[in-house]
Amino acid sequence: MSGHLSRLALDELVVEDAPPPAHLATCAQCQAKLARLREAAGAARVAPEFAWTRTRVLAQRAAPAPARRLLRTWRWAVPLALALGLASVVVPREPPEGVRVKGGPFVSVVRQSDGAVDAPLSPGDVVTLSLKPAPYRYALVFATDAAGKVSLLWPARGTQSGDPTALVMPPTFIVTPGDFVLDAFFSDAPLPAEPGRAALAIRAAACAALELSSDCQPPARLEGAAHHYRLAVPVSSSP
Amino acid sequence: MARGLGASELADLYEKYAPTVHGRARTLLGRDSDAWDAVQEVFCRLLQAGGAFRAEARPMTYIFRVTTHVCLNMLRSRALKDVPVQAPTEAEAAGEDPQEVEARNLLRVLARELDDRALQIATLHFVDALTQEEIVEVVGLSRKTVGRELEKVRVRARELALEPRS
Repeated sequence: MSGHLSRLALDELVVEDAPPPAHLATCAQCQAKLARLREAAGAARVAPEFAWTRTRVLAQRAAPAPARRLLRTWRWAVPLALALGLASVVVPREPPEGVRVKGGPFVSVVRQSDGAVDAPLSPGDVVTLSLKPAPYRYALVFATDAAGKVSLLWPARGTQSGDPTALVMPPTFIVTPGDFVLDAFFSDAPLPAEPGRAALAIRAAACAALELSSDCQPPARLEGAAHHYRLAVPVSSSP
Repeated sequence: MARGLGASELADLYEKYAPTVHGRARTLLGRDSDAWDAVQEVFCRLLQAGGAFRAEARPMTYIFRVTTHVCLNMLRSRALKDVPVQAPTEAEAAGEDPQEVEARNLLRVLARELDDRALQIATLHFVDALTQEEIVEVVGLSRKTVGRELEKVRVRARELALEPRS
């Protein structure tokens, strides 16, 4: 080894978990490295991402326990109910138009600065996309801007629906000028993204031809999609 | 079982360690946005592990271990190892330590070559310049196993003509 301080030892000095070793006093190279790491740590602390990430981490702590625990607690209930002849089969159905089942599949936009949900936004706002697919598994979310341009918002890098429960962290975005509409398609199996994008683009073009807003009509039914949810998000013209 | 982390304890840990976690993730991943993703993941794992880190004689070894796991997973799963041309932006690259850049490039190549354990040890050795004793402490393997893995890693790096200049 070189005899210089390792990154572990230097990081401990940055957070003051350890006293400076004798080597440091006589090694200009280690002193320079330590100074660089201290400077980088100071810059990270004042970066806006530092506070946003802290908010997300603390929000994780505040989140309710995973459903798996509930499942574990109640796993004996089904055999017991069967034994008692009490079991019944529940078939989930779409609610009538205009009725939203509490906790049903939907998407919301949460402003990070104050936690406001589906509130009017301003350019530069940092927002988190909250995806609630239950009782379905997969979600596909598009954003349509005021000009009718449709883009896949989530999964950002994919070509088909994603499973929101596999998300390590919620998708986060910075709001740009102009109102937008979110269209989420929920399903039991992954849906390809392109037909959804095309269906929305066709309707947006039809709305533009009528000189109406891009969400004037719902999209055509998408094959394989069990549920569609739309959220219009107004964005003020100035930050 | 270890007592879980309270909100204020978690906030204190974040205040203290998040900047160094970010700095190391930035070294390993090369992009600022990826580094912040890693910070979040590290603290979420810390949260899931409850108070396990309290058992560590040196809390930084625990933080180091988790950060290494998270960043190497990101390197693999997000295929960052395959995008050397998608280097940090000019602003991100400004002021970077050339040794860090060299170490990161080495890591990208090794990520294609080594299994998880060997890659972890290679990272701690080549990128972070940890001593063998420190590697033993961070990975929690025996000194003998670490020595053996280290030798394999050095041989592979030499075969690839990658061993960095000391």
